[in-house]
Order: sequence, then structure tokens, then C-alpha cells
Amino acid sequence: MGLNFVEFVFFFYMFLGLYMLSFFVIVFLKNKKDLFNYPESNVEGVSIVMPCYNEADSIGEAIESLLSLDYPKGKLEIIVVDDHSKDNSAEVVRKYTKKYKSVHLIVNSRNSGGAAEPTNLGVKAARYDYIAVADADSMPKQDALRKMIGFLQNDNSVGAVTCSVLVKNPENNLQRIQAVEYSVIAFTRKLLDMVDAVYVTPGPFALYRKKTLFEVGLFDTKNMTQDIEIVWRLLSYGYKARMCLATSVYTKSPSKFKGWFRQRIRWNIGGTQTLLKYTPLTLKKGMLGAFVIPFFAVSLSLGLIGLSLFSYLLVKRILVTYFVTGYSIYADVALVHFQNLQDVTFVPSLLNYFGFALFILGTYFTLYGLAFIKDKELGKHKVFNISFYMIIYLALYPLVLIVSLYKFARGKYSW
Amino acid sequence: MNNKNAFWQALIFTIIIFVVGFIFGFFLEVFRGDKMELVLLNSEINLLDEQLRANTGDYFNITCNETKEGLFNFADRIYYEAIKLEKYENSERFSETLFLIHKRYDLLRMMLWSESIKAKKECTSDFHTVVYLYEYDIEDLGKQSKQVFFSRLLFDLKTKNPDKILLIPLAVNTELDSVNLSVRNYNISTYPVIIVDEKKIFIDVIKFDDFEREVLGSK
Repeated sequence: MGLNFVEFVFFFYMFLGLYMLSFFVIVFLKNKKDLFNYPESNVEGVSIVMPCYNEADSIGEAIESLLSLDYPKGKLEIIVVDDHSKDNSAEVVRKYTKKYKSVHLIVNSRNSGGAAEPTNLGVKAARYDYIAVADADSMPKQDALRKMIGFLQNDNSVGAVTCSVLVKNPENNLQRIQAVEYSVIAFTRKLLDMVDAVYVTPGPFALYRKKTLFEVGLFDTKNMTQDIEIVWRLLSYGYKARMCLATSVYTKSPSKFKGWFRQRIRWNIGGTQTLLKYTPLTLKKGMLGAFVIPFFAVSLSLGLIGLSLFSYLLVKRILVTYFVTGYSIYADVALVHFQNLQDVTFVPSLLNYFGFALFILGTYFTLYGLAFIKDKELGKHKVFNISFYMIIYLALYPLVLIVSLYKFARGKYSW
Repeated sequence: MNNKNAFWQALIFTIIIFVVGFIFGFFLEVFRGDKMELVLLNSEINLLDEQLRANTGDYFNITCNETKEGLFNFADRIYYEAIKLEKYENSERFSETLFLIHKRYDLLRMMLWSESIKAKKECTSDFHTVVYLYEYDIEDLGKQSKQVFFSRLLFDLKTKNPDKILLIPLAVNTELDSVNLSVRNYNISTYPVIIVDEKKIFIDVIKFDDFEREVLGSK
């Protein structure tokens, strides 16, 4: 019999899946005790830049959360850069500027259509050497800055620091499933940190060194995911990005499928833009070329190939079923033979055993990871949400990928 | 601690797991093959027994009815065994054991066909031999669909007329000379095909009632 092409590809998938799982398990076992560690820090001035577009509903709360950070007030400034909002975001911020000296507002003369340009404006106007970038719908924990800044202060090779990004007050099932996803990402990102392979410092809250940002040329205004691109650029300059699991930022997640889909399309298009930009650095520039670029490229290709194969097998099955049903109805023979065991029984092949074992191991590791993080908010995940995330939610990803690539190829994308 | 060693360690670990998995898979298939081989051995003994009985019938007063009963029992038995074999075969990846067993089953069925022709010559037959010629392991969707349909059609026919239909499914692309030579006489250019009583050939999709009428009215 032997393996046919489709089975060979599935075995290859399983090999990669098991490889990544083993990799994470090994890194976890080696660093179990250090995952929540963070270096000692000194109090130094930090400018928090918050790009904003049509965020009147949430910007006040976001500024309040920054003002309540456990950090000396005299060493903080908050620069909100309004990207020419259509709503009254600027008015809301102005009220804060009047009330607090440390809050500043910059209004962009035009709408740039992304977060990079307003962020760059804020960085240029910043007083301090450390720049935190925060989203206008996110709220960092009070200890976020204090726990994160030490990574930059103690190691000059670190160019950026991120923390766990968690879902703020998940209310419906979609948000609760995203909450599972964000928690899993936080856990695995910390494991990637252990091998210097953090590839994104998400927008909700990240910390940079100002002179390093200027050295690498600030955020890329043409990229849809400037928070991924900046890290790849930092890596290409020999810097590292670090992840602080000991603190987190809460961010608003889409509550409707349409919003979720649009967000993921943007992430994927931005990821693809970044990948294409840095592909020439494959196998160069340390972990960027050795791991991050191949990891992204393989994930993208496997997603596409997997979806193609799945569609091929599905269409094949549908066609055969269609023809057989048509013939059977015409000929008046039974559609399913329950006596004929062939129609209803299943003899698992090695491929099935491998797939099942990998799924069980992956699920166990995910559950263990979620339990290990221990965070109270993370502990609330229900079995349904976790199962839905593992079985359905992840399976939707290739679809998002296809739509993203289609839009990317047509050049039709915007924030 | 050098965490980057994890890349190599994970690779080695994964390779070990896969090698162990493949060995396990190989033995699983060998185990299934052994199981089927036992069943096949029984069937082979059964056929030899049947042939011997037919050959010695003249001396020991074995009636045509007893011969027919023997043929039908044997045909039914290998039909269901073949279904079981096919399930195992679909999950076979590393060895060819089950494929070889399949070929041996085809040989048994070829012998059964020839025994049935002989029996019909020697006795006044009240049964019909329905030989179903299909292709083994094909990719063509049209043929696949037709083969599934023909299997259902024949299964229904056999279920409805258990004592009148001697059903013999035979794979034609397993490179068995006996099968190739027998089929050559019918000048068949496409498969699947149903041959009834060595005379009527059915290639197209046909209504069950019409097919049943054609088969039962054949002679």
C-alpha cells in the first residue's frame, strides 16, 4: 500500500506538530522556575505613547489606568496622539490634559490609517529615554511598568519588552474563547522568550528604549502590524525582545465574529508583509533568520497546504457521495448498508493513532500551561471554551489566512 | 543553561517517537495480517474440502443440492471475510501483507467461479453466478462512485435472494493470470463490470428491479 502524497503531507504535519510540542515541553521543563522572574529595576522616566483613533468610549478609562500605574508620577508622561478621529476622542483627552500635567495631546493633521504614524509622532515628542506604547482600549496592571522596565535597564541587547496580553472582561463566548487563546499565547510566548525568539510586542502595552527606536528607524508606517515589524527590525539589528510573564495588560477583544475576522485579517496581512520584507534574512541575523522567519514561513505554507488538501479530500468525498447517492436513488437501492459493516465501521491506521496521540498531548500541554500560569483570570476558563478553542477555533485559521492572502494579493486592505 | 539546545533535543525526541511509532505501526499491520491469514487459511481449507467433495461426489453420492449448499456457504463466508479484509487494507501503510492476502482471496474467488461453472454443468442449476469485476485501489472518482454503487446494488440483490445468487467479487488489476485470462474472453474495456451466468454483462447504472429481473431471468 505505502503512503500516498496526502498521507505523506499529514505525517509531515504531525512531525512538525510533535516537534513544536516537544520543543515547548523541553523549554518549559528547563525553565519552569524562572518563567515568572523579572529583573530588579530603577526608577527612570518613561513616556507612554498612546495612539488613538475614534476611541472616545474607551480612551478615558485607558488614561486612568495609566495614571494609576504603580510608578512615581513625576517620572511618567502620557502622550496621546489622536490620528484625526471623527469622534470626540480629542475632546476627552483634552479634559485630562487640563487636569494632569503629565498628560499631553498631539492631534495628527491627517488620518494616517494606522497606529504607526501617530506612535512615531508620540515617540518624537517624548521626554524620557524609555517609551511605553499602549493601546487606547487597553489597561495594564498597576505593576506592569515596574516589572517590565528592568529587562531594558539590565541588558543593553534588549530592545523591547512585552507582557501577557489578556482579554478584558470577556462577556460572550467569542470573547471567552479569545481569552483562552490569549492565555495560551502568553504562555508559549514566554517559552519562546527563553530561546530569544519573541517575535512581537503587541500594541496593548510594550516597552522600548527611545534611542533604539530611533536607531532602527521607528515604526513602519506601511505595515499593518507595526508591532510585529518593529520586533523583527530590532532582531535584525541584533537586539532581543523579552517577555514578562509576571504582569499583564487587559485589552478589549472583538465581541462579534465580523470584528474578530477583520482583526485577524489585519494581523495576517501585516504578518505576511513582514515576512516578505524579511525573507532575505532567512538563516541570518541570529534567531530572526534561524527561527522566527522559518517558523512564520512554515506556518503560513502549512496552513495553506493543509487547507488545500482538506478541501481536495472534502470535495472528493462530496463528489463520490453525490454520485453514489444519485445512482442509488435512481436504482432504488439502500443508501447506507448498516449490515454491511464497511459503511459504518472504522479501522484506525497509524496515521489516525499518531493524530489522536498528538491531539491528546497538545490538549494536555495546553491545559497544563493554563493551569501553570495560575493567574486568577486565566483560571476561570471553562472546559467548553478550551475544547472549542482547540477543535473549532484553531481550525478556522486557514480560512482567515486564505482571505488575508487574497486581499493582500489584490492590495485591498486597510486598518 | 543553554535553552537553544532545546531545538536539537526536540528534534531527536521527535525522531525517536516517530521511529517507535513506525515500528509500532509495522507490527500492528503484521498483527492484522496474521489475523487475516488465519481466517484465509480456514477458507482455503474450506475450499479444498469443497473441491474434494465435488470431485468425489460420484463415488459417495453427494447430491447437487449439497454441492450448491457448499458453494454458497463458501462464497458467503469469503464475501464477508473480504469485507473485513478491505477495512484492514484501507488502514495498511507499511507492509504489503494484506494486499497479498487480498490476492490470495481473489484466487479463492477465481476457483469458486470455476467450481460454480463446473457445478452448473454437472447439475441442473437453480442459482445464478454474479461475478463483479472491479479495480483495486483506484483514484478515478467516476469509477470509484460506480464501484460503490455496484457494491450496494449487489449487496441488496444478494440480501434479497440469498439462495439464488452466488456473488463473486473479483479485483481485475492485481496481476493474477487466472483472472486476466478468464476476463479476456469477455472483451471488457472498462470497469467496473458485472457478469451474470458467464453471459450477460452489465456496465451501466441500472435500476434494481430491472437488474434483478435480468439476473433471475438469465439462463
